[in-house]
Amino acid sequence: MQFGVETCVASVLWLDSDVSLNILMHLNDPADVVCAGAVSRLWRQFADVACDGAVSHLWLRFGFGTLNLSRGLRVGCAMETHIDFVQWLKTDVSLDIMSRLNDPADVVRAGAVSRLWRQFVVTNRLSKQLCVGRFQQLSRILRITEPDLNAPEPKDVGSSNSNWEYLKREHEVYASLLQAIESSKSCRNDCIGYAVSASSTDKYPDESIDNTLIPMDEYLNFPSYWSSKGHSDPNAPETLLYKLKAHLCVITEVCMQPFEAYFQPGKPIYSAKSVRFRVGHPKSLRDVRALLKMPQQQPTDDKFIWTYTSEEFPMTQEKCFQRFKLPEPVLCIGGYLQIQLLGRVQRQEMDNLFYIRVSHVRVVGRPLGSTFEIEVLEPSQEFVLKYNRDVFGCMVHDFSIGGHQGSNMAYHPGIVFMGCWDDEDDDEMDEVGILCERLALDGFRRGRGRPKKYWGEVIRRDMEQLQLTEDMTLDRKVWKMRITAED
Amino acid sequence: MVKLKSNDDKEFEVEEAAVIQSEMIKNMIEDGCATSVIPLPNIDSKTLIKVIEYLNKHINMGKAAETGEEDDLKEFDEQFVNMGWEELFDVIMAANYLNIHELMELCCQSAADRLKNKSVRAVREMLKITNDLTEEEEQEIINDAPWAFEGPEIDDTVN
Repeated sequence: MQFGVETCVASVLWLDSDVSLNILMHLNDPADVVCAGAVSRLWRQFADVACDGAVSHLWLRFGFGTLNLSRGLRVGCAMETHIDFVQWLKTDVSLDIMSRLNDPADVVRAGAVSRLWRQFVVTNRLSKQLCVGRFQQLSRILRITEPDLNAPEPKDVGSSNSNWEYLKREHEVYASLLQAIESSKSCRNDCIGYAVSASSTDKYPDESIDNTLIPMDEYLNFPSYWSSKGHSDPNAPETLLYKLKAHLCVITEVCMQPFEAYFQPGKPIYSAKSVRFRVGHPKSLRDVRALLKMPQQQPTDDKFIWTYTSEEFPMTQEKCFQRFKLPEPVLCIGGYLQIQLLGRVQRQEMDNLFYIRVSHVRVVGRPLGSTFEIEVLEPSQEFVLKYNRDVFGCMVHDFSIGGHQGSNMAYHPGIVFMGCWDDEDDDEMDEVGILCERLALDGFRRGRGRPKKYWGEVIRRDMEQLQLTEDMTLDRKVWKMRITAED
Repeated sequence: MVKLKSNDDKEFEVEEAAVIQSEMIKNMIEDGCATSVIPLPNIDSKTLIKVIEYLNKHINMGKAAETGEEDDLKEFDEQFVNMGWEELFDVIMAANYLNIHELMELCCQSAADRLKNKSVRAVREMLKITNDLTEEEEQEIINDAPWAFEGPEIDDTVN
């Protein structure tokens, strides 16, 4: 009996019972059978049967080939009923049953039933399968890291142990990730971090994409909206690009209001024919930096990889918040959302060209930023998932409280801005709050005339001056350090 | 008619149209190996009766949709899986052996549904599993994902 540890586990637990039995059948010395019984619980059960003399019966049955362990044992020794199916059914049949558990909590609990169940759930990577089955994009997660966790101490030398440790953590992280996603469905937080660019802008910066984040129709007595350039072709599309608040967001809905040019004769509404949404991530880090320096009126489509494209939603030519509810919550990995505006309906009398104009944009869902972070690997475009274990506890706790936050947004730019950070702690809220006030005051002090300063630009400038990269601003520690150093 | 023989030497006659829902027997018939009695050494008569009951009911699956008997069939399925764990696993094993996809689907789903929302204690009790995890191990699992062990929806009853 010179099986390696891994072989033992594999042969009895993880091979089809038929195959395991074929191996065991070759033990023809009673001493070997007793040795096998000392290997593990499952093996002992097998050996017990052998000692009862039932083994001959078993052997006979297996002579016919297809009989499996469970039936053989039951018939062979007339033991009490065995309904622990993980132990007694073939692995693929048990898997068929267990992979129908579609709630991560059920999978986690199954992993706590017994040692065998734990091994079954963890080594068959049930929570990962469930996660990836639900959200295809997650199949590109290459590995998981936990910044908070020290590398597990190698208690036993040997790869099987560290492999088990890894699988155990993987099980936990995927279950937590899916739990976070699932419980975010009812969250109605605003997910937009800032506006990145529009495929075209008629008068920049007066009609900049930044205006779509101001929740009022007018800002300091001027209409607030984004406008495309005019086009003679009513089918010419446009795109708007936004950076979400976190690398990982669950998005359930996008709301948009087309702009009504109330100062033009007939109050035309410059809606699009239909809209479509895409989420994705930049092709490379270099592109992220380039994006921040780029003027907002340039197209950036070629710099992204889109992992999800929604169906086309028709837009009506009405001046109201139009809600485009995604059929299923969408997981955005990488933190960028693009709105495609397909087709134009309104011609402007002055120049006889078609325009698309949008007053407001809101992306509804939940940023998972503080708990889960994503790093995109180049050039494979696979992901590394970072899991902040400690934060997750607080996040789960907040689910019930945060669930309906932001459903009635106050119509004040400062508050909306603060809303951007509603996943962070109070400390930061204060800092951002102060920043907002300052921005708002800046705007007012200018007196009459359109303010030439937009908060998106202010942030851009600040980031440049303080030499912050986008990733740093999302990392609380680094961000705080930089900001205090400035004082 | 096709004759099936259980492992306790009882013979059952089943219509060919019903029995070919089993991929295994269908292949046997196609290969001309089903001329006399088909022995099923893995299936006892009690389980085989259940399986045949299912096959006979589902004989005209396609027709059911047309004649509006779908609800009827659904009700039958619900009643059908209303059995003890042991019996259920016997049927699952038979369905797996005979390769009857829909029956496998039905029974595995039923098994999974019985586990959903159950507390760990309830699962152990239902399936007569002895907890061989140490207290520390169990606590570690709970600490790693406490959200999975709390909440009003967790059912601690054993049915």
